Amino acid sequence: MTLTSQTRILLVDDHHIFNEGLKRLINEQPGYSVCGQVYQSKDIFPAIENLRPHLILLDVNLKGVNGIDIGKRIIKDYPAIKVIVLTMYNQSKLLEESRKTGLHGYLLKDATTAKLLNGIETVLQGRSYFDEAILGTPQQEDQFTDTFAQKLNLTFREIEIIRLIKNGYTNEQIADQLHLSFFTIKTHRKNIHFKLGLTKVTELIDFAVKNGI
Amino acid sequence: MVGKNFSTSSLTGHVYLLTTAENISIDEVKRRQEDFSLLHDEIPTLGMDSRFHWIRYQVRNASPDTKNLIADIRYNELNDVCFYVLDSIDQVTYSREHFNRKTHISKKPVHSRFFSFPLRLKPGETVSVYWRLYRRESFIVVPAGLFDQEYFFTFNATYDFFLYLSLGVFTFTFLLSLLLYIFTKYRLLLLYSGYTLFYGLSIASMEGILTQYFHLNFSLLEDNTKNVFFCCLNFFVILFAVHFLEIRSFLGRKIYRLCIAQATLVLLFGVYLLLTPFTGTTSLILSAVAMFDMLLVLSLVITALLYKKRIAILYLIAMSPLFVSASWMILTIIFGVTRTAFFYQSFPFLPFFEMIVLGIGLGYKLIIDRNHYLIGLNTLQKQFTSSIVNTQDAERQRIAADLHDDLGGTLATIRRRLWDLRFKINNENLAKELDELDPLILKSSDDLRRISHNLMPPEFERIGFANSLKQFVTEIPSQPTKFQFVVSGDVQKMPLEVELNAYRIVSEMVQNIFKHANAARASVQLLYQSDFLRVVIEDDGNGDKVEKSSVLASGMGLKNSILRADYIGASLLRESGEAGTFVILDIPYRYISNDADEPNQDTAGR
Repeated sequence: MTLTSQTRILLVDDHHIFNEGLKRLINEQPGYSVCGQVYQSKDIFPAIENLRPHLILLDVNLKGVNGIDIGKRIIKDYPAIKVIVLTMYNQSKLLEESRKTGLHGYLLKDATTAKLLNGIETVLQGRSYFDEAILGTPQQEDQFTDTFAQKLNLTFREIEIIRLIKNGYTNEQIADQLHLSFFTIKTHRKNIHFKLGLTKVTELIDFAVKNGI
Repeated sequence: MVGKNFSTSSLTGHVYLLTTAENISIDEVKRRQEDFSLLHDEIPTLGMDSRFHWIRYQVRNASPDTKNLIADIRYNELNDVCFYVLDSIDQVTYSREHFNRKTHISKKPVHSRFFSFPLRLKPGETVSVYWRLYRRESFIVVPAGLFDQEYFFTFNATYDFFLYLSLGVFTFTFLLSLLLYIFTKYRLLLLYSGYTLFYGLSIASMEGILTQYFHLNFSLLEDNTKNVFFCCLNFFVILFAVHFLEIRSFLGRKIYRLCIAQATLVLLFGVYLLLTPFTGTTSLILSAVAMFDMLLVLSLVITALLYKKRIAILYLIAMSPLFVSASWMILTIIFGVTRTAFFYQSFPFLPFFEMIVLGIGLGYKLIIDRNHYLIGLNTLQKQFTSSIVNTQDAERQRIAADLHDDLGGTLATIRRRLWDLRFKINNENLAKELDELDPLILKSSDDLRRISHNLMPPEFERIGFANSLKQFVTEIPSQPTKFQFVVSGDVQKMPLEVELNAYRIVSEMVQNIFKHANAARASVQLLYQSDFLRVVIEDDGNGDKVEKSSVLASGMGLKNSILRADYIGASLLRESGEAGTFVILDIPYRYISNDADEPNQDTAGR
């Protein structure tokens, strides 16, 4: 990639208006040029072969074919080509998959132009660019992975119930107190025991005391 | 020879026969003693020749008391019967002439449906008994008997008791199955009621009940009464057997149609008999036809047995005594095979046995068919549910794709074009106004994404139930309700169909909370237990108030959710109270593949 030659970008998106808009935007940027536009998945590899792009902006939804799978093949067959996923799907799972697969970036179609250009720039510099906003709050992610947090994976209602159990309330009294049915309380207690891996009430009380519930 | 304790005799080996073409008088018969020949059979069957049959036997009272006896022929199809008693010097001491099948019981010397005459013998007295029997153009069965008078009435009473009992059961069964048919429209019941009706009528006419007690005066029927009933009976016997054994299911349509044709033919023959006078030929044809029909039914039963139809065993048990008996009777008529008194007297009771066994079989079949029907209904319901669910899903998928992929891309382009425009504009105020547009576009983009995700989560199969749901729940704005999402246990992958329906149920519930519950807090939990996934959805909103105001849309959604839960074999429990709504969805991992995809051949053809 030299300064004298333009960076060739291939656009893969079945959405014509978006594809056109993107071409216009990129062509306006100095140093970038859109070398080709592909609207169908079957045209991707011939286009790569003919146009030898430096970077591909790849949609995920390509009429039944998944863009991430295509991206995987592109970086395997053409390791020099950078691939950025550009999609409407803000799914953290898809972002994670793209990252694990070795794709270079994941951006949302409705991201600001600044973010988009920043992403392209970053990837061309040899780094990856994954829109962190898609991942959601890190605290949420921790609940999945952190075993200790998972132990405390209780809902507002369950905390209320544990608190009442700790204070020596019976199921009937808890139901009364919380204006819930006896059945609901019993189900909750079963769920709590399942989640915490406990079998006895005393263990539950110990747990409550230890965790300051 | 009648001894002191004599009760009854079938007179086998004592009866002599003289057949004459012309009607001769008793005096002439007396002179032709040497022309009589001995009959060897217990129940002799005489030819079909419209001739006059003279029967002769001798009775001697060997007891010290005077004996009151009854001479009897238990056959009531005769057109003319004369009875003579001659003393030892061949003088006629008692004669009764010209009785026939229609002679009323009150005009008979002995009250019996058959031909019975009194015979009073002093000690040591010997008499000769002469009968003259005549039947127009048909065979005559001669069950001649001699009874002690007392025994005769006991015997008749016992016989009649069982006969009426069995006729009563026939009547009851007929009415019951007809009534049941009216309510259930179960065709076999109708055939069974016809079966019992004509069995009853055949027996009643064979036993002379119709002519003797009811004095039916249909000139159309006359001597053919029994035969017409018999044709109707055969019609129902074939139809019943065909449907009872469900022969169409294993012998095919062709044989089924042949059987129906045969049944119809017999019925038409019955109509023919009804409209034409009695002849021996038609009577003989009917015997052959009846034999054929019986063999037909028997072969159907045996074929059904070969096809391992268990119900056929019952049929075989039911028909075997009657089959043996009736075949015997037909053989006696056509080929003159000997029959015994036991067989002769038990004949009217055999159908009773058959009816009871078939009745049991019918009840059993009704239960089985009902179960099949319920299974069929269940399958149909599943198909229906599946078609609703699938149509809805296909539609949602289409709308979601339109929104997401088309409108989403366009919105993103508009946003970018506006951004371009903004930097080309030198007018500060205009640029500012354009800046204010940007959040609006972003919001519509977010709304569009939320709506389409709600309709159909993108790449659902790839992302999976738990992650799609997590994404959906965490994307919900924290106002007015703060949602909590919890996963516990080892995440299990379930079939796509199950996961998608589960997702729809949960997202429906979550939408309801978001839109209507007015809750501050809500939670969605996925508890992956050892053999099922428990989804718990809860909020602290005003569940019961929402319930009462009954938002139509949410009610529809709930019904839909129940349908979907049922479809994937999950149980959905929902409790709504003043402290919020509590929903439990238990989805078994072992997804029972539903029959909707492969409709049961058996029920489909019904």
